Amino acid sequence: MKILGLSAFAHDSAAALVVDGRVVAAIEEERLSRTKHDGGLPHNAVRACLEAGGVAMADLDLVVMHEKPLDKFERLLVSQLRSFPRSGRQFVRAMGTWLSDRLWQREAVVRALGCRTSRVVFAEHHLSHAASAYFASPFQEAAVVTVDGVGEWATTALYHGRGGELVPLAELHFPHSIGLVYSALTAFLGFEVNDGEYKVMGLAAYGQPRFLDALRGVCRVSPDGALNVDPRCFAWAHDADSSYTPALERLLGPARRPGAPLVLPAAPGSDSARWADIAASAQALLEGYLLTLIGEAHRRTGARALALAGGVALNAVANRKLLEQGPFEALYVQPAAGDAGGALGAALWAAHALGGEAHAEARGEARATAGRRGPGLETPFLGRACAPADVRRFLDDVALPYSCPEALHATVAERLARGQVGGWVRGRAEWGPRALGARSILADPRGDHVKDHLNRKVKLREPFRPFAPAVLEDEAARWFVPVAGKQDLTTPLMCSVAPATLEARERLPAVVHVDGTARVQHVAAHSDLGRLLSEFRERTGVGVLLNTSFNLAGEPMVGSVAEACSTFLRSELDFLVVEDCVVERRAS
Amino acid sequence: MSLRGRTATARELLVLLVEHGRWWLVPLLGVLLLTALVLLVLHAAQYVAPFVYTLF
Repeated sequence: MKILGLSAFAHDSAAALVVDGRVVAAIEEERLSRTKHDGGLPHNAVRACLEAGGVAMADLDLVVMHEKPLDKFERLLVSQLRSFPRSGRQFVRAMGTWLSDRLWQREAVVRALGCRTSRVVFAEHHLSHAASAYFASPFQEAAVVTVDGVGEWATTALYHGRGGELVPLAELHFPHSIGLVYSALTAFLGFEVNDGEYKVMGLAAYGQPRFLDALRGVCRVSPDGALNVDPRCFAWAHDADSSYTPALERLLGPARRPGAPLVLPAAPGSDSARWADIAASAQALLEGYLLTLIGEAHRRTGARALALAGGVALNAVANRKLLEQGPFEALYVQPAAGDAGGALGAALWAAHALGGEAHAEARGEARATAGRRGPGLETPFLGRACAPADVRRFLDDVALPYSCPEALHATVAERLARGQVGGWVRGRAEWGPRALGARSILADPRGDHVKDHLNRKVKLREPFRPFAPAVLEDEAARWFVPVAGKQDLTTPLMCSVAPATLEARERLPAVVHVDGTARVQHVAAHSDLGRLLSEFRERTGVGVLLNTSFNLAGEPMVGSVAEACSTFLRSELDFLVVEDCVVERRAS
Repeated sequence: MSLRGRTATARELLVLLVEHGRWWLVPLLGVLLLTALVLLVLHAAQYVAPFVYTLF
């Protein structure tokens, strides 16, 4: 059965192709359209997925959307009426968008893809997230927790995954949403919502959670994981322009306007110190809430493993605490945990729940087939690859100097050990926002200056943001402290942090954040990046490289050889590797 | 987009609202959909556009 999952008409559109229960391709639209967080119908990603799978549009059995637009529209109507007349302006805007475009998603998909109406089905937003976590994980049984801003009505959901079936247990509904609280505080701190949440997480390490009690007062958490958000402080239910109210500023002090100077480490009593403290408080609030929530999930399911998805599951700092302090023995986080991942989840849900049923009649009704599940997500490298012949042809055409050394890994390791910084484009691109060694910028993590150089000259982003390490599995414990006695499946996917050992803090300053942690990626020695790490270790005695996504600030990760070369030439990278070619700058 | 497809979606939406016990939203939805339809038709007839601005 050939199933195409789509995430579209919101933010972070994506497509995923599942053939006979196996994930063949999964691609975010932004990587191809070059529009960050692209929210349109993912035409390019669909085409690329079908190409990767050798599947024609006409061969598709089902096209599954990651959420139900009619339910979402219902929520919009009800919630806007509840807060009328304050919501008047937002209502007019929302109706304009919905009535002209978003309500008619089935027709838009049918027209764009040329498939039959009966082949387009809709999965619930949080069910898609849950399926992306459970069916991608290796667990037969798991508690599945999904947390994000909002889907149709649900903002948070608990499921019990068992024997290939997902049983819904509980939901928290809009407007009560920890994801929206975190996003509102992201906006409060002057960062862009749906993009700047990572910055809040990074900034939190510089502060103290002295506003935690104040935030708990307006975001009340029940022991069963329910959340009650005070509408006097948070305005997302009725305001199109701001997600918080003046009451929140009375509670926390003036908000930071976008672009205002943020001086870190901050002088005591300064605005920067207060903003860092607010970030630390937001992070502590989130972690406390999630710990309560997974405690409830454990109580309800009795499972030993936890699978997470939803945008909040991209919070690597919280994920570490959940495994360390929570009741579960194992943790898995789907690498594209945000809305892009809904495409994968929708397709996996349909593959398992609709199975070989006559899909024309199914129309979105779950028909669980217990006891059966696919192989999970076998690799995160599910994107497009650059064909080596095309790479050479392109480099010849644009007359960029390059060589193709036989001992590529040794050559690159030598240059990295000499302090050079390089782009690394090899094989199929990663699924999810983390660079895992297919579209990466790599550097020696030992120098003091590397982090500042990369932030200021290469990535062109805020100086306080940390970089992540990729470390060979066999020496990971030398540098980063694992969670004792528990199975951490987040580390190959760079989805959680780990405290750095004393030796790492002294010798690898470029990849250790100010709070002494790192968002670590464990790499198998036999993988492509593993071979490079082994060569690097032979030269330096250190099996660790700084690994950050290959993009400039505000741009999606590179995909093709042309994008890689463009980014290379606009940054201060020393060299670029695309497949088996090492590209240099022109002498001029 | 075809009128037939849109009608089917509008019908699905009405059924959903009634099933969820939110039948009281149906009149509002009717007004909204009618407005959308009027705007759609008037959008096609450019010569009446100045009158639309006075209405909305």
